[in-house]
Amino acid sequence: MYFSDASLAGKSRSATIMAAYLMKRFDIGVTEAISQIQDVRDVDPNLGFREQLQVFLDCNFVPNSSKAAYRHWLLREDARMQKGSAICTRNLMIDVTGKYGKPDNVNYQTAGTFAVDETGAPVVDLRCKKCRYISSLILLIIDVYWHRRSLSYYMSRQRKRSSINARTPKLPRNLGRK
Amino acid sequence: MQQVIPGLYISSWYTIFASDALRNEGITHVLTVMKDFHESEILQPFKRMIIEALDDPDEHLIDYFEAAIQWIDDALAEGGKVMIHWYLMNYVFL
Repeated sequence: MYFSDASLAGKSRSATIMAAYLMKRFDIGVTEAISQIQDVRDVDPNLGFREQLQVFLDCNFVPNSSKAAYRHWLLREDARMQKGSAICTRNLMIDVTGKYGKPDNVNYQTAGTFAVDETGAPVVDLRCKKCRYISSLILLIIDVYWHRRSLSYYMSRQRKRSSINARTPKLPRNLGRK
Repeated sequence: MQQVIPGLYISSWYTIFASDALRNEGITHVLTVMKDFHESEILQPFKRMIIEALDDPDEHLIDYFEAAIQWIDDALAEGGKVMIHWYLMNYVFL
């Protein structure tokens, strides 16, 4: 084990904060902000941080869950985290508006509204269609343009069930056996 | 330590050992981005902001942007000089 060279480490975080500041103050894009820092120092924010900067821009510098771009990013983050897990290894990428590319698969389904968050918006479970593992609890994404009919269908179906049953994640069958 | 725009500097971890350089540049504010921060005596005279974040693509750095920008703006408005630095050694296991 050894300590790596200074030039190899820490190229990302401080540069990302710096880039966020430059973007807001000078009203420039992500690439311009980073290249402006690169003019004076060898920095290279990782792809995850670059994406966050883009989301920051798309949210008009106020990233919170009321902004579609922020919610979509959370969803993509969640999908990436799930992708490597042992519970569900399917490709879980969902792009609700299609802004970040064509929605390529619909392995996930929205499984109804049961709860309401502090702003009064309903909360939706996203589950893997195959193993029923709950992927995330996110605010209802309003701007669903594709799959709209299925969404309302599942929502109406879930309302008829008891809320306790609906909120209990169903395990895959084989996990229940001894 | 390099100046990106007037009054705003970017730096690595090692700069905190060069307190003379910081004093010569007239740095007044230090923004540290690291996890598990251990307070250093060298940084006592500076006004501090600490963002606890790992150098990891999954780190939600976006949640700190607003507060950090506000802090930098305030610091520059009162005529200060801000240095943003990270503060963690990368361990490489062989």
